[in-house]
Amino acid sequence: MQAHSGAVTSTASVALSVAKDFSRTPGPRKRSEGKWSGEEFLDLLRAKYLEARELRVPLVVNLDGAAGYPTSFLEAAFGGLARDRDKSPKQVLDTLVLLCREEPDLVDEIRQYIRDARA
Amino acid sequence: MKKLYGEPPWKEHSARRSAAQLQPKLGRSKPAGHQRRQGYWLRGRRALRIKAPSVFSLVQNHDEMLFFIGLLKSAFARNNSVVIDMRDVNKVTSDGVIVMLSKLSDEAFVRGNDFGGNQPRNRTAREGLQRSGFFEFVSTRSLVEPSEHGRIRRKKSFQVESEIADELIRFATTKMFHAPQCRPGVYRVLVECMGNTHEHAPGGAEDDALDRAGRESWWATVYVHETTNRASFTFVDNGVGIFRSVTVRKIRRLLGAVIGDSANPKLLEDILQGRIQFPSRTGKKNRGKGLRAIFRQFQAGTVKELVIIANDVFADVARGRYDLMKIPFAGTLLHWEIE
Repeated sequence: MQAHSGAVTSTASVALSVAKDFSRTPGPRKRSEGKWSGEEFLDLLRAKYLEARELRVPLVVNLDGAAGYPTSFLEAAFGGLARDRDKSPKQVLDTLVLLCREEPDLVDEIRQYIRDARA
Repeated sequence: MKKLYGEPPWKEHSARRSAAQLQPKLGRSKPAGHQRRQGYWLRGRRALRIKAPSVFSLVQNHDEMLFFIGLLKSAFARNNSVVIDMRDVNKVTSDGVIVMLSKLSDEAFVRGNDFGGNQPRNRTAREGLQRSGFFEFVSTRSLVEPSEHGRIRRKKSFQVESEIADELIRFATTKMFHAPQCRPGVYRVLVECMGNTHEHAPGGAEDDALDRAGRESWWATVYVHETTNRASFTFVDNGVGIFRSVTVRKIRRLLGAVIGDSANPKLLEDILQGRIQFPSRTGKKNRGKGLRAIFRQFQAGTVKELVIIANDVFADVARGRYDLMKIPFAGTLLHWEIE
């Protein structure tokens, strides 16, 4: 997985912006707990991930523009992706590219959730 | 006839009769003249006057505030109407305001009794109370200053309401910098707090616990200080508090010993520092990281002056002080500032 401070590569990729394609206000972990949950975002993330895998390009997830990210949201979404039966943490780490100018530390945090997903 | 009414015997009789007729109107033991009803009255019932502490803040004056809350609680438990006397309050902070609102809006605390109050005579304290947003929740017959400097929000639904976190941050940053700004660290802290109320409600089966989480209430406030251009955030929930939650009882079991409540300050410090993994109520991994995440925001400098009050623990995290309080607080309070 690559972490970028903001530069966009010229290779083809599938793009996903959390703030524009999902919500400016990411919420709790589960759908039952509230709106804009990590579970809800995971559905979108899975669909984009599948698209990226079929095209054999990276999935670029832009985390900028949102109000912030609760830990449970991130774990439910990214950890949840790595827990899918047809995926492995290594595969997810290799496919995802995270753009995060506003909170650069989020990249390492999300990477940890992916690694720990099946621990 | 004229001769009769002019005679002394008649005059004496007439005077005695007049006095006897006047006596019932005056009352037997009351002094002459009209007497006003003494004391405090609410809806025709005599009310108990309870004096608020001079520094009306849980963060800055927890001993006196908790004693005051205890007096309110026992007054309501004895089915008294209460008048909260704030006339001699010299300092009001937003955390004191929402602690009071959270208690007075709790049916289990008030038990159906009436309550009322007055405002501080001290002008700064009175303006602080008015500008905090307190009177958006409490009616008054007085004219009050608009709540320009503060916003108070309470839980409206069963769910975690992340838009409220965004609203409070945008209000504060617009007031401070004349334009809304993103503060992802503060947003995370607020949503984690709401999520903690939701997740760590006591209970057995998950459904029961979620039901109780729906009933447990939280209040959040932000107040922008004109002179320092800092904003104070406070989050209060009226649950059982961190140390009586299912989760901490699990920690104690995991540690394999019965740890007395005197260990609570150390326990909180260890949880914040990551020395103890804080398991979630569900026991699933990668959960229950809310408090640790809040502490990491403090370490990163995105929130300052972090104070946590829960059960019998007062944690001034900024100064590394974790103290046992004499009077416990029923619930959890987190307070921090941004600049």
